[in-house]
Amino acid sequence: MKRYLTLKKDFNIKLQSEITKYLTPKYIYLPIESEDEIHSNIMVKKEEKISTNLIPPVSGKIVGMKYCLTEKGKVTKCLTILNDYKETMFERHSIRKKMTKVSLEEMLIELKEFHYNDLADKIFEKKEAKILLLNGLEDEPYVANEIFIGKEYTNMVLETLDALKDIVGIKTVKIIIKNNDREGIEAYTNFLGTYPDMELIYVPDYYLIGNNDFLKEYLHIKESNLIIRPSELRIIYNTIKRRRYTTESIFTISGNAIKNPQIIEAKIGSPLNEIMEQYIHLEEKDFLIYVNGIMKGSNLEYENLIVTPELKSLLIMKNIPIKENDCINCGKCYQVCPVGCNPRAYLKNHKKREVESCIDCSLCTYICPSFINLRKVINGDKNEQN
Amino acid sequence: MVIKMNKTRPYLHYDLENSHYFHLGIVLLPLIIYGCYKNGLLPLLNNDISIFEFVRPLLFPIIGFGVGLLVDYVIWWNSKEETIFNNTPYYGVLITMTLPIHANIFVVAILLFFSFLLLNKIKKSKWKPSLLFTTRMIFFLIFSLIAHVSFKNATEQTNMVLYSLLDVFFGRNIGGIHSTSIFWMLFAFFILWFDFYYKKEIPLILIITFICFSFLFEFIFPTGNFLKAILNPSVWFAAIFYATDSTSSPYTESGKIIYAVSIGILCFFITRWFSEQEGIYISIFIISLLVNFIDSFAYKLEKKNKKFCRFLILKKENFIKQEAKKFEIPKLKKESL
Repeated sequence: MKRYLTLKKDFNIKLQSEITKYLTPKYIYLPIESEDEIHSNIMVKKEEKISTNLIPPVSGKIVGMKYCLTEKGKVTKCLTILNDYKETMFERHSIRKKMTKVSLEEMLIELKEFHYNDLADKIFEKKEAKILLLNGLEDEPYVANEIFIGKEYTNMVLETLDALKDIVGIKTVKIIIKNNDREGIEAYTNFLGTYPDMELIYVPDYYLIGNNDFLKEYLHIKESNLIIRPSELRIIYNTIKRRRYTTESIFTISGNAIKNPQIIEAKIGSPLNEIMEQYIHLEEKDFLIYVNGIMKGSNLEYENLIVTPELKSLLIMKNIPIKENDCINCGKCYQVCPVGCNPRAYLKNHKKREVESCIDCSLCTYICPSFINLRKVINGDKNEQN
Repeated sequence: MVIKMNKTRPYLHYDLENSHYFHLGIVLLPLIIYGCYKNGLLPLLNNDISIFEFVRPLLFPIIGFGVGLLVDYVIWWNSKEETIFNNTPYYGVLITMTLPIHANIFVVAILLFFSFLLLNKIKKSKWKPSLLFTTRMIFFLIFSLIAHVSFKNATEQTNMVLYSLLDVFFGRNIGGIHSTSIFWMLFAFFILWFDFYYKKEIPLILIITFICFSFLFEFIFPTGNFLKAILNPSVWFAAIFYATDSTSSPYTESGKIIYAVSIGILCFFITRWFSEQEGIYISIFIISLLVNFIDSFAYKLEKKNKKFCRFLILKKENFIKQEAKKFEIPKLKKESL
């Protein structure tokens, strides 16, 4: 059994060639994490730090609170800001002409100050890396955020990659894209002449090859390496060069139940139902909505859903009823698991050690001929709380 | 307030059309048609049977399928649950295809019905006998040991027939109603080879083991019947359709090899010294009782291979990531920012 599998996809689902921008929402909803009291009727400016993680992407007036749904299925209290459409900035910084003039420490300090702690820690951990890999792959079917960022903002991606290479002190840079990503290949090859140190590598359209660990194994990379994604390069570019927060999120709205699948760039905190009403034409009445992927994502309602930095995709699929049958002991779930779990044995004896290393990729459920929802059996409803 | 997140099944499926069961059913058709020709049309043309006996070969798989459906309906009616797709009709067809032509149809129908029903009841207990193999053993006991029903059809009983190797290969041989044509069995195996869920390693290894042991025996004790011995149609039919039954065979890679080799060896001895027609079914039944042990043993062996080691490597890397020191902003900030 091959470890890497190509998923059977519907090739009729084609994304529009350009990113749709939704940058003028009427209201913005920002999840409140701390217990600080925030008063209404206060004017706020764009990118003003209201509290630790509350950075409004627009200027306007705080009008109250509302409960909204995030991509994790959590209903949280959100600050409601009425957009005044003036985009009044809190602080204006001049654009840094050359990113390479920044040292590694300065870059990390700035990333931390702009609250991109995970990214800063990741770069700090791999500061001795010998290879820099740009992972421009998307595992989830019908989702193409990284691919579109690479295609639409190729100049920005390559400039930031080049700067990162110089800042961290890495000599080898490899850009990895899928061999069926025709537009990405065209975009990168047009600009790569300017960056002779960078190499373009094509990989086949395998599921899970976008996972960093599996990618390294596929490419046989054993040296210390730093893997970065185009979306992370966008954050670095905004933070280091433009010295601004990344206030827009790029995500995919796609599926076989809509007429016009597309990539959307929207302000963080925008309500999704407004975006759906304005841009998406539903073809089916009976549909399911998957947030963050149809393999690893979850089924949610979009009515109160808001755009967050972690929202990667919204997939609207026709509802096909499926009946589960008894296990036929084919063993394909065990053979197909990329990390050696044994869902068959777990189904029989419910011993957690059989599925200890599960990465929730859903390949076992995908392959099961009896349509058993092994993903639910193994992981249960993780976000269920009392 | 938290909404219970329903982590539903992934939307995509490898085999949404259930083509696996379609393949299993469609490859039996040439064998059934050939069986009707050999046990129905040919004796009719030889005036060895009447026109009513002509339809007899076709009745058996129809009864097998019908009884299987009936059993599923009875179980569903009793349990009041949603209908669960079962392999019972398919098992019914497989069993009736291997019976002697002169078996009493009513006895077959009644035996099939009650054995399927009883074995389905035991299905949910700890010890799960294989529905297919156990039912086949019941038929072996009734028709071979007790009733002594011959596998010869009317032509073979009334006339002296000497089948050549080519006859044996194409199906003009003494055997089950629809399980004599090795040619069509190979055709079925070729089609099933490309089916994703078919356990193709089992028949391949089983037949190779059987041939190797036959060759070894022929080498030590030459009888001149080597080719006829290895072209035993029951062995080929059971290897391709019975031994590969998904629910009753091992799911681990090494387990399938152990299973196939064990059946091959046992089958060689039983067919040579006990029963040519039924030897393979007895060996499959015996080895199928050990499937759970074979699987657990094979799984322990496979745990030592790369997959498991890879999991350990991944786990170690993740652990290192968590322990890595995080970057802390120095107390004296640089002003050039």
